[in-house]
Amino acid sequence: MSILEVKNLVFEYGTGKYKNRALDDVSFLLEKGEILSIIGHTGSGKSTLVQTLNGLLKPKSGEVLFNGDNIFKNNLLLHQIKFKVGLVFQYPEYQLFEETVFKDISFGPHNMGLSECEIKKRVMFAAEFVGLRNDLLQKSPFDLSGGERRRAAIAGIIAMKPEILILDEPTAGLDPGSGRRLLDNLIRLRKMNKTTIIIVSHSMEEAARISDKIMVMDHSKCAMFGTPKDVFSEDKRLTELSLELPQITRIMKMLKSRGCDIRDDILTVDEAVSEILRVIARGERHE
Amino acid sequence: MSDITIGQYVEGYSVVHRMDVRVKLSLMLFYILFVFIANNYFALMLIILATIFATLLTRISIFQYIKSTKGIIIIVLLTSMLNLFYGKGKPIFKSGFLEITEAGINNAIFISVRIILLVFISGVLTFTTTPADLTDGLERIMKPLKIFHIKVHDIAMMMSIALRFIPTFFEELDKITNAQKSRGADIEGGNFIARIKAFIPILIPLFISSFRRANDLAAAMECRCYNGGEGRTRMKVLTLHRCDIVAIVFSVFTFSGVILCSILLPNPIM
Repeated sequence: MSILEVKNLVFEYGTGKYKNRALDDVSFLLEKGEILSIIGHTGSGKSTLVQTLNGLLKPKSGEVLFNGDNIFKNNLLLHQIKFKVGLVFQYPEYQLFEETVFKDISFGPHNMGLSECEIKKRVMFAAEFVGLRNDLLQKSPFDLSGGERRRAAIAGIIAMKPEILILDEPTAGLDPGSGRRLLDNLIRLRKMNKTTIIIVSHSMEEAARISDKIMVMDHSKCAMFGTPKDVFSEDKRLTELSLELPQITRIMKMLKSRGCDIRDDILTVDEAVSEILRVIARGERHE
Repeated sequence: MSDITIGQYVEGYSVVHRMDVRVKLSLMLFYILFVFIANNYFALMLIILATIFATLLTRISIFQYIKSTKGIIIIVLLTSMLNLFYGKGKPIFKSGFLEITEAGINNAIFISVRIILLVFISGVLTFTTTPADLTDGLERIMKPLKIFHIKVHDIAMMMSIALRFIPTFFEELDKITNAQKSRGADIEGGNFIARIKAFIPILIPLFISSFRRANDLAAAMECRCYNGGEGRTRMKVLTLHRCDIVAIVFSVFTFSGVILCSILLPNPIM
């Protein structure tokens, strides 16, 4: 059984004249431990979709099945699903409120009704995981730097140990180094706990580098769904949706169009390096 | 919560919509005065007719006006009930210490009609004027207060900024509420104390982001060399049109009629 199954999801904002369909018949399947990237331009329904996945928004029709159970079946399940499906909002650093970072991270576990001992363990784990130094835990969240605050906010969700972790543009506004570290941490989390991860992203490079599946949203519909290789092989379709291939893939395609005998289905820089080295080595052999 | 509307402006192109906001505001102030000067049925009738005429001119459905009186219907009932027992003269009906006189009945009718008229006429103003225009008009009308060292421009600027940021504020509130709900915050349930406590995780980030926003806005305004109203020119220059003149003349006639009726005819309320 898949951990998450979304069936014919329809969501509408407003009523009557101002009705606006934000999700139109969206369906997909996600297996445990997979990383899914959702890409699409602004206003395509990405944020609405992730908010239905943890039950914050109730869809007009359709089902969200978590381990086979419809999360909208009853209120108890709807409350508990928030701990199973952790959602990190865009710019989560603005939701910090407690006196100390420690207390803020423990807000989620506290709401779960865990024991003090367990809460402490989880906060320590989450803080260590996102790379927050121990001495920061007793500080006020408002004394931290922007990047540290973001990490504290994400730790607040990770401390709930969700089975599915959803992040809405987690790297927006971070410097490239912090962004990369954050993504590396997510990959580590998946390895450690088999956490399923969904990332809403604007960066094709990020999506290509870390995900097992990619979903492209366009005008409230799921336009494409598949492995990065599948999705990025249809470059014409992507251009139609005003999206682009990852930079490195574009470079490889240019090399190929200039007569270089090279694979153009390459998605990451590492792959590209080995492919270019291979081509060069072959060229040298010929000479 | 995102569908909240600020003010009650109803889009339209009627004569009243096109009128100069200064004229609308000052006429309304005089109108309020005359609603209370009118102290007999003839004068009141005159004002009622003028009000009906004004509401018809706005070309906004009468139901909209009636809907706006819904909120004050209890106040109207309560005050007229109280007034009913406060008339002097010969009682028509007596029970214990309560007595109803003719003057009391008149009192009750007058007070309720006056309140309803006020709601209607403020509807005529707010339905046809955007909040931004309204603050703009207020600023110009209050300009003479400058001699008392009241910073009219600054007050008007604060009002328009406050109005501008109400929708942003609600959007932010919605976002933070959702974020805390995602962390399992229980906002609806529990007793009174628990509910207030549940609001802390929402209120604190909301306050902080409001201060941040205010800071940013102040910096942005300073970057564009904003330094108060001194020597500032206007983008929208208001000029009086024919419809404004007609409205003023018409109102002057109505108001004089009210004064004449009130002086010449007997007063039924004591």
